[in-house]
Amino acid sequence: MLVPEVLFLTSPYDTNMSGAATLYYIASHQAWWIIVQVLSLGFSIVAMVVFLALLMALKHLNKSYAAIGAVIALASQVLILSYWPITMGQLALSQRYLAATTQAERKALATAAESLIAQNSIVAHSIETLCALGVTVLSLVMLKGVFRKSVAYVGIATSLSLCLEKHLRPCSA
Amino acid sequence: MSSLVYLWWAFYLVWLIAVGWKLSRLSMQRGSLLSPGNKAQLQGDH
Repeated sequence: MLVPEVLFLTSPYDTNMSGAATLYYIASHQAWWIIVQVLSLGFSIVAMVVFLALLMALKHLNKSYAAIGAVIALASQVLILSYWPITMGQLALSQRYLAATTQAERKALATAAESLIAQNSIVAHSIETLCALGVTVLSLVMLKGVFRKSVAYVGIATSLSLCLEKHLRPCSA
Repeated sequence: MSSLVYLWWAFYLVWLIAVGWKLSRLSMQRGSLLSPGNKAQLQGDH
């Protein structure tokens, strides 16, 4: 999780780039793009395993809330995996963009990329909120046992930090 | 991206590692998270 984040933040890639600029950047940094996407999306699969295992571990404490928390958290991870066709679509478009010979062809591909960029930017905040909600519900169940209370409090803090971020976004951006 | 998003990611990462660590320890102790011994231990915690 940290490796793709560091790779992403240390690169000059900007999510506000135009379709043409994005395709050109991805085409010239294909290995970087694939590594970032595979590691960040692959992390979701690991998280899904953890959430399922957590449901098994917590169901004796409160079956309903453990199931609700796990389903919400799993749903957020499934939504993260839905990025896969978008990001790999951008990679495929970038290769075609490089191979394009006419200006009209490049313009069409850049327009197609704009729609993928838009899809890529819309869903992120709702997924974070959903994930934080799932983690909070699971953490509240964790307060009853099995795990240390400090772990449960960290889980609750994730939700609080996200609420803080949503309220202070204009100030902290 | 807002700097507070990094705070959320940091909390989430710490939480996930702590939970994963505990779950893996529970699994290794008994061979499976769902083994009869673990079930009894988890129920005992309740």
